[in-house]
Formats: sequence, structure tokens, C-alpha cells
Amino acid sequence: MPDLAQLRARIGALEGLPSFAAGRPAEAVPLGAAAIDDCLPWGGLAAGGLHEIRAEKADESGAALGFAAYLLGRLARARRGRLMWLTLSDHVHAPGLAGLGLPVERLLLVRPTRTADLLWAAEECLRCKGVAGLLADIDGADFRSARRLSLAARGSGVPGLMLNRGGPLGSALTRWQVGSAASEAPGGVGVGAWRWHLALTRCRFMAAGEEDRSLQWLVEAKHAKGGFSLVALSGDGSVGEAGQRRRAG
Amino acid sequence: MAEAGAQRRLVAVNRAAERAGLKPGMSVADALAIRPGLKLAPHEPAEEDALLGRLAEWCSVYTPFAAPDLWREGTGSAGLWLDISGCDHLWGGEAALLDDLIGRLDRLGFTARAAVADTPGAAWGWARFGAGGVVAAGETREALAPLPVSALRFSPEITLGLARLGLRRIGDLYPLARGPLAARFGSVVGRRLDQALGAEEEPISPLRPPQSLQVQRRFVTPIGRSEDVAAAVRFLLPRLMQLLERQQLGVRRLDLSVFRVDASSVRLAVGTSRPTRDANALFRLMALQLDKLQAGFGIESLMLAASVAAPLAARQQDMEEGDAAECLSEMLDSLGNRLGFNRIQAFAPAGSHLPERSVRRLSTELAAATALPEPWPDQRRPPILLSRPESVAVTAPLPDAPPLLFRWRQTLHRVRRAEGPERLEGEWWRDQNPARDYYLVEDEDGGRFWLYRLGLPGEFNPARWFVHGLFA
Repeated sequence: MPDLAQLRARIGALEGLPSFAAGRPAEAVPLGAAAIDDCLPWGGLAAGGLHEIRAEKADESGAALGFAAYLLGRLARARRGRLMWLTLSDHVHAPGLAGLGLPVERLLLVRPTRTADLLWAAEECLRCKGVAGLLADIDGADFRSARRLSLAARGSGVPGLMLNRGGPLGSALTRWQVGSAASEAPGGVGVGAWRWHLALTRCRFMAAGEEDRSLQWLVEAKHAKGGFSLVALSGDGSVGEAGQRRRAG
Repeated sequence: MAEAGAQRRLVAVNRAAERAGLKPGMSVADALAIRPGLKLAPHEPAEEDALLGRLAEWCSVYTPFAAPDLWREGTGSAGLWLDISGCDHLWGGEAALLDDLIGRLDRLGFTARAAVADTPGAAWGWARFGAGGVVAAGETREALAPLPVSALRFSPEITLGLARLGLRRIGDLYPLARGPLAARFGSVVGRRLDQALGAEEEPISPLRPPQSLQVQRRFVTPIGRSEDVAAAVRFLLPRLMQLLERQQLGVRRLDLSVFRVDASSVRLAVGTSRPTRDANALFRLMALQLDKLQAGFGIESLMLAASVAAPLAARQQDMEEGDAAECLSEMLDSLGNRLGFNRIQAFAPAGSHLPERSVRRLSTELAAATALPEPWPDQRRPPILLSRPESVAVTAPLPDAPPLLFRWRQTLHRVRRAEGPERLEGEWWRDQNPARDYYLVEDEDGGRFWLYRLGLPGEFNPARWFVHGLFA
């Protein structure tokens, strides 16, 4: 469907969105699991946009935060600069982040006391080219703030991870839903590598009608040859298909 | 204008009272006899001193060397010191500066006498006992000669002692030998004379150390709109940056002093995490503060000072990396100035094996200094550590076994897998903390928790369990 692809590219370029800005392929940061990266129109997480991460269930904050920390670590590996973590709470534990492949020595934790300050700070960080990646722990954001964040990220090319407990963000390029999954330990003793149910519930520039269709995987995060990485153990039937669609686009 | 004592006396009088014949030192009874309708106010030296302090601060419009003068003996009136060396030309001469100063104070309701002379001592005497105004350079000796000796800041006892010797005028002291005077009155007589005549240096200690790294702008008509203030700051910043560049310095702290027409002043300050000469970045930081500024009756002058500066050499980084680093430090400055620099933290391993003490929070500055990455512990640690371990009800088959069931935040979790225990001993040198046995447990839904049992197995009965962290 080359005509449709061209049309999409033109619309994307008009909107100035990553990956479709004329003549400039957007910088993308692979997640590390080929099965997932192949499904994304950018071949990974697009820099210069917002990516929303939500917990499957309200009490599964550990899995969502863990996945977000993992993604921030991937951004750190691919990009230069500081990592910014913005949160109102005080329960982030650095050794645990290091265990998820996050280079803690590059991390700065910013702890505003009010939501308004946090959103303001997130925008400041997203405007700054010296930031490798931003993770903001938010409880929803009004339409205007979300739009501002998205524009700031687009302007600078800094990727923003929104660990969101509140209402969905309309301006995000992708939305991920994360739940913890039972681990498999070798020999059945102890607790195995972290496993998550991962669902991509929104992705801009998927084929028409596919944007809000959910793609699901069971993933395991563990130490591999190239460092800490994510492995897709199984996904739904649309994985291969989606990959083809991307190549067509 | 009265002081309570054994006998109430006048301490100070205003111009109208002076015309009516009232004088400081007069008893209140006498004063009321002369003027029955006299208005009296209690003398409050502390408040007067504070007011003088504020006025001195406001006088930094004229000179950075301004200080309150709290010497009241002999005349009863305190005053202000201003060292205007090198500042008078900005006002069109010494006389013009003096006129401006007296005019402003008059509009504020203060009756002021002022004098300019070669030395602080001479100016002090000329303002209080002479005609006031400017004593021309080199004419101090003649000008002071006819003034009473108390114009040299002597205590009443010394003045009285000199008077008994027939020494009433300053001129009477000129021909005298110093030796006998010092023997009789101490060194103070000779010293005050030398200070007045310039033979001995008498520095004025300013309220704040003076700064050469400052620029100032005065307004013909007072301004009040925040846009105007912002425009003035924009105008001043590049000039200040030029001063800094000449000395290869960068700003670490920028102070904006705002002088209002009612003689009050405010100071706004911004800090930066590293020296900078970027006028635009500094303006953005200052703009955040300007919102808070109250113009009051109007602002007549602004002063911008680099109150803390540090060496800043020319940049030699490659362009792109330099840009990124620059914008990063700008961003951190703006965050720090709005949220507080203590709200931005970096992490480093601390020497404790107890989870809650295993991480040091560093300020960004410190983090930049200690860039050496230290290793984190190899054991599995949760990315979420509850700031206070939460007590849970647990079913465990044996004292030294992981739990089978636990109830946390109203939810029952059935443990499917468990790892542990990892025993963390209490730090005996701090307090008598019992040891903790930590377990990593996974429930049926895959939720992973960090639980611990307090004490050695069987130490507490029933066993006390806590959730301390959440794994990914």
C-alpha cells in the first residue's frame, strides 16, 4: 500500500512528528527485544516524544516502575547526557534501579512538592538537549500540560517516559501497560528473573485502525551478553504481521 | 521624644520644637512649661537603630560604603556615614549629591543635616555644629577651628574637662602639645583630632562589603510595572557580564537590589550551580523571582551585583557537547532556584548494609565532583523501598521459613515462590536493632515483595513481619 504510506508520511511531516519529519528519520532507541521493536514504526522508542507507562492494576506499581526504569536505562545506553527522574514521592531505591540496568551515577532525582511544579520541571527537562531521558512519575496531567510536554520533547528530541497513575495522556506517542507475571526459576527454587505482561495499547502511526489495538507480550528482563535486556517470550499472533506492516510503511 | 529616667528629659526635638526654644537634654517639665501642647514619644533606641540600618541600606543608592552611625553622646542624634569618594560625579558633584540626599530624606519626613568633608570626623562635626554643606578640600582645618570641641565626638566628661582648662573651640586644641593632653584625658583627644584633620585614617565599615562587580540604573520617574523592571534587568545584565569578562569571572550568585521611593529596599537573589556569564540564562532565572517583587510606591533605582563570582575560563569544548552541558546546567539552575537545590539529588552507595541507610543522597554539585562510579551491592534489591516498613499479618509454617500467606494493605497474598533468608544484622554501634531476615517472595499474580522478619527465628513470639520493598 505505498500510496497510503506516502500519505501518512506527508501528514506526519505536516504535523512535525518524529519519524516523519521530512528527510530526517527520527532517532529511536530500541527496547532490546526484537519482537517488540519490530512492531514499532520507529524500530524502537522514538526520541522526541512522550511514552506513557501504566500499571495494569492499581497495586502493581512495582512492575510499571520497574519497566519504566528499564526503559530509562535503555535510553541512557543509547544517548548522552543526564537521566532525570521526577517524582513527588520518596520511595525510589537506587540499588534496585541499578539492578534494572539503570546507570545510577548518571541519574538525578528531582523531588518537587507540588504537581504543578513537577509538570513545570518536566517541561524544563524535556527542553534541555543535555538530558538523555526523563522519567516523570505523575498522577495524570491536564490536556494543556500534556500537550506542552509533548511539544517540548519534540523540539529538543529528548524522550520522556511518563509513569502515569492518572487519566491517559492524549499526547503520548505510545502507551504501555505493565503487570507483573509469575517468574520461572531454574529448578523451581527461589524467584526467577523478572517477568512482565506487556501491552502496547496505543501507538501513533500504526496502520489505520490499528492505533488503539493492543499488542501483547510476555517478557523477561535479565542479564544477557549485551547487558541487562528484555526478552519477549511470547506475543500475540499479530507480531509478525505488524512487523511486515512497518516495513511496508 | 522623651526618655524615662529619674527625671524625664528630651532626647531629640524636631525643627518646630527647636524654633520654640526646646533643646535636647532639657527636662520634660521645663519643655512643657514652654510649650504646653508638646507631643512626647518614648525614646526607643533599638527601633531607631533599626531604622538607621534600613536608611543606610537605602543609601547604597549613593555609595556602596554606607553605614549607620550610632554615636549619640554629646549631640543626642545618631546619623549615617556615607563614603562618597568616587561616587559624587554620578550626581553632578558633591553639593548636588548632598542636595539630592537631603531632599529625598525631607520628602520621607526626616529632617536631616548633612555635610561633606575630607574626613569622616570633620563631616560629622560640620553637619552637627557647623553650617552643613560641603567643606572644600583642604579647608578642613580652618572650617573646624571655630566649632566647639564636642564636634570631635568626645564624651560629655571630656568636653567638660576641656572646658575647665579653657579649651572650648577646636582651634584651641591645634597649638597644644599632645603629651599633657593624653596624660590627662587619654589618647582619645589626640586621636579624634587627627581623625578629623586627616592625619589618621578612619575607615567607614560598610553594611555589606562593597562590590566592584555591580551595575546600577536610576530612573527619572519611578517605575512600577514588572515589565519595566524586567527591561531594566535586561539592560543591566550585559553590562555586568562585561565587567565579569574583563576579570575572567562568572556569576555564582546574582543579587538584584531594588530601591523604592519610600526608602525601603528589597534584594532578590539567584544562585547558579556553576559560574556563568550567560546573560540570557541569568535573566530567565531572575525573571522567576521578579514575579514576587512588590513595587510599592514605585522603584527609583535598581542595582545588579555579582555577589559571589568564581573564575570562569574561556570554553574549549567542542560545540555540540558544550551546548548540551551548558543547557543542562541552565536547566538545573532553573530547577534549583524554583524548587530548592536540595530537591535535586544524586545517589551514591553508602557504607551501610541496612537498606534504609545504604544510599547517600548527594547534592548535584557534590555529584559532579565525585564522578567516580562506585559499585552497588550484588544482591537483588527492590526499586521501591517503603520509607517506613509496613507491618503485615503472616502465616508461616516454621519460625525460620518464608511465609505462605500474608495480608498487606487489605489484600491477601498467597506466596508461590520465595527466596531467602538474607540476614541483615542490626548496627549494634547505633542502637540495639535486632537482626532482620529478608525474603523475596512472589505471590500467585506475580507480585514480588521484599518481606522481613524481625529478630532471629523465634526471638519474638509471635513473629513480627514487615513489607519493606516492592520488586519490579
